[in-house]
Amino acid sequence: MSGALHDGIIVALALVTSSLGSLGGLGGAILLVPLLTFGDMTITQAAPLGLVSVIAGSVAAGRAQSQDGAVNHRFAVVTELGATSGAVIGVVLSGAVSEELLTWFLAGLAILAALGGAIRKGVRWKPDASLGADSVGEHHGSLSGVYRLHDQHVPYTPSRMPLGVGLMTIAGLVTGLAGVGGGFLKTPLSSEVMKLPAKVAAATSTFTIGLTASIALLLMAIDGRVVVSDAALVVLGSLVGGTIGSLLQRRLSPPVVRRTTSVVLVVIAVVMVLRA
Amino acid sequence: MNLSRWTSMALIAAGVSAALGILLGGDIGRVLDVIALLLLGTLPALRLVILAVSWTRVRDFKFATAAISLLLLMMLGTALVVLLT
Repeated sequence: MSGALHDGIIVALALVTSSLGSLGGLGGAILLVPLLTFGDMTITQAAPLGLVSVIAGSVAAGRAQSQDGAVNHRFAVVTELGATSGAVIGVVLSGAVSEELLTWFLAGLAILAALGGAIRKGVRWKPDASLGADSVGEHHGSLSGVYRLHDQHVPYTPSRMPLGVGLMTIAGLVTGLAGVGGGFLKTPLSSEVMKLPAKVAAATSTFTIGLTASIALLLMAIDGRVVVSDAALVVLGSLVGGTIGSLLQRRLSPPVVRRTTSVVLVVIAVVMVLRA
Repeated sequence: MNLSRWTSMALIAAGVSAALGILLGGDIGRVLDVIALLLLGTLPALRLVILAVSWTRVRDFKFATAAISLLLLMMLGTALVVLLT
């Protein structure tokens, strides 16, 4: 494969997977890494590029998503405390459970999450005509907020937080054990268990997966596994892809975002099973 | 300066650095690639620091403490993984 073609393919793959990842808050690495290994890359070389793509996509999407009030940073920090605690324990215990069993388990969870999002009808949180543009954002001292949906403003308040944070901790533990990112579990848990609007769940998950990926990338850099020339290509593709994903999320209705996320979750489940 | 403005500036700097790194190649290109990666790699944690500071400023201490706890947990987790693997 010529150098220019190799570079072009990496940029294009990063762009597409980051767009999909940012749209649904799933992170693109779980799609990008297997696609890169179809070429001449090993999984060891591709994994850090997947993390770079998640960080770049997360940061690029975060700009537009924050402007729309779609990222609830307070909710992100609270739930991430659970998920990170679980992930740390999971990484430390990795190897204790069969990798194949874990992969099948995660694929099953992804399918369940896809069904949860696809079966639900309608929109849970309705726009409030009395709210103006100045109301968009998070509320001081609470987990509630208002996000912009086209030219309307939608108030929301998450619920079942203890259950949700508990499940986030388990999700972190399982993903830490399996060595995969948890975006594909965080978005459905936020949306279906803690009742966050689909767009807010996706945008908030996009923020948190960037945090997790930056730590994982640091560990891989310490291990000398990051090929910077390939990583720069992924940065370019993912910055554009993350921006496209956030713009698509802004234009699409919540049910369309939810169904698209469900389709991507099924694809992720299939990819995981194929890798197993 | 708010979170969105910080993010935009770092994003542009990382994008330009990555693009120049690819175009120039060689040692200079490699340095620019590393700068792009460093900018992006530190940005998520930097965003968390900015959030903790801004919540402290508006006296939202509960969530500022949560953000600082998360940062500490991430550092502890990183140290544990480095030590144990």
